[in-house]
Amino acid sequence: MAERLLEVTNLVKHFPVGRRRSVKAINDVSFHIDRGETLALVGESGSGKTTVGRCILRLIEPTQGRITFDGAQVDAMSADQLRALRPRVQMVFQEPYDSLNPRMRIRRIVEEPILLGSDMSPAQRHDRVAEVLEMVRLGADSMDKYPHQFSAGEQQRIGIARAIATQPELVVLDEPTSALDVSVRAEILDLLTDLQEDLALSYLLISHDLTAVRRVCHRVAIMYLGKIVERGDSDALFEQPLHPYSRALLSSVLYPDPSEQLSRFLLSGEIPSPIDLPPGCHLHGRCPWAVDACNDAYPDAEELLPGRQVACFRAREKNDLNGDAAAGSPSA
Amino acid sequence: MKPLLAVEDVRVSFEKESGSVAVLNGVDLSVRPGESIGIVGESGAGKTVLVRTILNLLQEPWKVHQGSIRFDGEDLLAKQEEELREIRGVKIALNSPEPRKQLNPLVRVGEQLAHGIRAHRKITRKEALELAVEALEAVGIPDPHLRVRAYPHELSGGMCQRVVIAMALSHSPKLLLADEPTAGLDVTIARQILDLMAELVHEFGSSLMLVSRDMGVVAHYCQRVAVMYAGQIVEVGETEVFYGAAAHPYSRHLLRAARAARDERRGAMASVEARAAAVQGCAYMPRCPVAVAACEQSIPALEPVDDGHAARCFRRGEVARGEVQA
Repeated sequence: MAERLLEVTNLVKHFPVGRRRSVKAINDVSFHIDRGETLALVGESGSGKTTVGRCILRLIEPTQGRITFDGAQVDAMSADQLRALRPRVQMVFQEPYDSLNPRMRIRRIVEEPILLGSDMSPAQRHDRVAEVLEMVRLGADSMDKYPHQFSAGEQQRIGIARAIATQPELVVLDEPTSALDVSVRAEILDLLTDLQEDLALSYLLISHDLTAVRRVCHRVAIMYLGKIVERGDSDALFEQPLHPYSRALLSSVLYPDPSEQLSRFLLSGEIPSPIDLPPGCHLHGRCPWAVDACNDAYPDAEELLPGRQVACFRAREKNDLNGDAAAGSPSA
Repeated sequence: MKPLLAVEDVRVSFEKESGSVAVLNGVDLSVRPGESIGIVGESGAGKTVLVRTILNLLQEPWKVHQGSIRFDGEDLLAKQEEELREIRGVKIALNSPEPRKQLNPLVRVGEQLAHGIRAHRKITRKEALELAVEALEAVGIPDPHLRVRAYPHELSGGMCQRVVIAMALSHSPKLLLADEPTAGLDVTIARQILDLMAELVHEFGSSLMLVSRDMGVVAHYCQRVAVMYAGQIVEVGETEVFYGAAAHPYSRHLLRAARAARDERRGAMASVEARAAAVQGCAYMPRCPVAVAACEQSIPALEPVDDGHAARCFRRGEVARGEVQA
């Protein structure tokens, strides 16, 4: 039986701008992550995915909602309690170079979270730094170098080494490969998968890159303008996305094979501003399936296939899933 | 067919106090009239420098050492700045990765478009502004008569890219150089932009040189592909042929990385332990899984594998036929 590590319930985050208005970054989002599992949060800019990651670490304060980590309520923690939580929940950032202090040697960079969270002796810390650098396949001689002496891929390995130095249980990976070239990307993803197996890590993988996600995650939640529109097991969702936004996202990925038929399931127009969210379903202005009802109310998430939640009034009909969820066999 | 653009043995370096860094090491490439060709390769391969060399835009500390770039029969590298101005923007247009940086933040987009149009055509400002509205409409910007008065910051990234495309195509150029046109855009917007570009280029009968790191984009939007590595074209071929039977180990590597996501969940990328680079041999030798002794001694030339398909590799035939695991 899977053990629940993180549970996010009805999370809301609105950033006030000016007097009356606010950026509605997260609008009632719920999900969970089990131990040893990777959940991918996928969406385009403005979907709120990065804000979710930051709320979980309490780098920013949620407006509403509950975040439970290993039974403890993160959103209600005091500063002291949060400090005790830090070693257990770590983060890897998008820009490898910008997230490393250019004036610190790698030894210092990787050591820092250990210093903050434990009372190891200098010798123990040195050993630990050497150990995690080896785990990310960087030689011990990298310890005395500076970030600029490494390639972007190696810099991201350093960021990963720093994140795992405190033996965390959950690592939030915020677009860990978007700044990297394709072949380096694949290496980093393989490294993350290996580390997960060796260290029993759980990941929250935040990404706009669907191809990266498919490779490493167990479950996916797709976000659009602060809401999760569809979630489910990774392979099944990739094979058969049910929500129109998921379909559009997937069909916008161009596989490197010229003989493959290009999907024409495209959205029209642009992403609306999260300050002035459209009424009803957030997608209705761009959605090829939209009807009047979509303008009036935001659809509740429904379980259309086992383990698959979809928030769309028309997904059942459009995917030919009539009645019995388990027996659905949709047409293309 | 005579090529529209013929790049021959172009060598460019970046001059530093500590010495000269070779960036383009003899690039050969041709673009036919009306075709779309994709230039792929990872960062640092020299793709953007090549684009800038074609337009003769490089300034110190960049230095063009040798080679010729013939466009429509004229050597661009031998031209004076005055003459180049008649070609840039009119016959060859450039569309760079960050549309927002290509636009002046202090000037309304309509004025910028009109300015570009008037630079090469004798019409009044009012007429030019009318053409600007038409141009914005042609690239699918809603309410063009209102947006013509917008400043760049009032437009989204996708809209800015549309404006830049409108500018690039305002003189129906014979060649459009598009450097990572969808780099900063969201995926659902990126497809719209690519479709728009393909459609307009087709309508004008222009050639398109699409620089991209995305093997998927090139597969679907280009008829030919050229792969760059370490400042050289290492392979060139028809898209269908290239994606089916790539002949250079580096091309295979790029394709495998791009396909890994779909074919299998992981383990597709055997990481290659880089060997020390040979000074005189093939630039890819240190990373190449099928390198032989010859690769250390001399640089392979870009030689044919098949009709219209060439690669810079001594073992290109074996690699293309899949006889060796490259």
